[in-house]
Amino acid sequence: MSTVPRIVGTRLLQAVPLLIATVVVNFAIIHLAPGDPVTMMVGEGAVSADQMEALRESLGLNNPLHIQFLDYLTSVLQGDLGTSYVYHQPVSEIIASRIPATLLLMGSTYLLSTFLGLLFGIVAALRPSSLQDRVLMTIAILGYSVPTFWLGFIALMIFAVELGWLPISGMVESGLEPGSWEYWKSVLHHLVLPVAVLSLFYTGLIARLMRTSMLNSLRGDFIVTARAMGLSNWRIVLRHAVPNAITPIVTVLGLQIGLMLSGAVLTETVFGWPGLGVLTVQAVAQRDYPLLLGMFLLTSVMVIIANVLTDLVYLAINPRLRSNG
Amino acid sequence: MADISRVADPLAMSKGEEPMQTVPHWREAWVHFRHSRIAVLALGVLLLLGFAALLAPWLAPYSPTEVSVMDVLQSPNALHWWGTDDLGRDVYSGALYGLRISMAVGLMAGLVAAILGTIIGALAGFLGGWVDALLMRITDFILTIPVLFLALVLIPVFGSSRLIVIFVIGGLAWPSIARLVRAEFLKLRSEAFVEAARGYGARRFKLIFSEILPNTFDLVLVSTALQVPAAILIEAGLSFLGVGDPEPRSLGLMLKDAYGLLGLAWWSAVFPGLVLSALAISLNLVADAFNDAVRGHE
Repeated sequence: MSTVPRIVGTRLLQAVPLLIATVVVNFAIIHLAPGDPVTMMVGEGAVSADQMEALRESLGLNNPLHIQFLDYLTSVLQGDLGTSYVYHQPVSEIIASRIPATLLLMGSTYLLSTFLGLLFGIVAALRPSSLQDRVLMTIAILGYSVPTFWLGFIALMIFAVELGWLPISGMVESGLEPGSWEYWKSVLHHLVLPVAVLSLFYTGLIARLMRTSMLNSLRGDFIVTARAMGLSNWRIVLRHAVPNAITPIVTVLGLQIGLMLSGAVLTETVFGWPGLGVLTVQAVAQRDYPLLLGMFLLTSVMVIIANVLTDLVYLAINPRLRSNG
Repeated sequence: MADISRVADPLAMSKGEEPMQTVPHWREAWVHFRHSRIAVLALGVLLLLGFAALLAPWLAPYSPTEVSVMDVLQSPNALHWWGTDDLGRDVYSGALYGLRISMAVGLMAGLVAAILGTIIGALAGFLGGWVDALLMRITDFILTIPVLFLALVLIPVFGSSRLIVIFVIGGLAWPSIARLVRAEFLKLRSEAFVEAARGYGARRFKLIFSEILPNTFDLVLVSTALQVPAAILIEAGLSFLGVGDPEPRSLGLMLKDAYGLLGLAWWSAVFPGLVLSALAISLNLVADAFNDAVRGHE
């Protein structure tokens, strides 16, 4: 079997315990959570005690715990994550409808900050302890120290409220036809501030990592050899040092993509971005457990996807892994 | 905001541990530290903030929670240096008390992470074998958990107490510390003085506690220092989202209230945010410089 399917297969197999663990934790949370799910669903005192009992029976809440667990597991495997207490819609549909917004926000952020972060990290590492190094690295530390939600909020006050250059909230102006040129222009307009603010954070993180990794790489024997062979400085840096230094960055990016929802929560809240982060905060505020648990499961799935992606990128940038498959 | 605790120690995150350099004595580390002017400046700011937090009851001109209808939404003036919010609460006094909370949460979460990280790292490094393999798998797994997200989901279940916030943050921040301690144990396990103690017939636990563990102290300290600002920002983020403990009022909660006043009272957002940023920046710069000094990186 060729390497790529084998690695993807192994990763997916390794993911099975993680998924089972998540489902178990999910199930435990449902039963630890204060409040009766039936009361949560219909509201306090809305129906008679008999009707409550009937509903409880029909939901299987009177069954022994292990039967309830099996029921839960089966429905999750069938893609049924339950019904939201608040929206009265299937959790899977609600979540699916919010995915594109978060992917757009975080995807743009990752692209921009990976490019800038690698650039700054390389430039800083070329002359360690020089002025450019110190300035860039101090900015990088500032980037991941300043609370993003606060920075976003200040940016809103300046660019949206005071100057009126950019929209205050949301993802697109209402009333535009989806898919039209005007629609995408409006989305782009709304995307500027959140992506800029969030990218400052990720750029700082990646730049710092890349600098450390580049410094290690530049000390390698192969660099000494390349210099001895008289290769030009730029060729050494771009063809030899950078490809070697980039592996840890791929690891961290993979981790961060898995942690995407954490990254999105605060920024989406500040900018009223209609994605999964805002959805989570609302679900917490409204104690909408089925929705929260669906989000919980989604994060595990994202960690698994990110793991597989990371491995595939390793293969792409390091041909040695491919040949000994 | 991303998961900051996953950022704080970039080296611990890369697969494959950095080979550890020899650990210089604190005096040497301090000499190294002093070379960086920006780190010394950051240390000064940090000490200033520390004193301000400790002395908040004496420094604050007003009670942080005192509501005053007469003084609603005042811009900064001689009586209210940083202005007042929509309930007439003094922003300067509020920020001083909020700073206390932030620092306390950060330090306690750091302590939890340090204790867990040391125990787990020591067990893995000393016992080796399947214990090591299992513990390191768990460590890798913890790294993939989104801290902010998990805290957000758990808090409605367990109630929003600050203690839970501390335990969730600290309980997920230990992996980088554990990896460092483990690597140090692996290195020290075969060193002469440990072998000598073993030769004298020292018991396993005595070996761990009196021979190896004291030598990992510097590493645990610098690595924990990197986790503290992360913990502070996560707590602030949770408060900003409205799931932190409302009493006493933290900097994050002040910012949440200020967000509701968007554009009406810039001072209620700018000053507490600046205090929070100054705290996180100075902590990160100091921790970073100490990390370099102790671990001997560039």
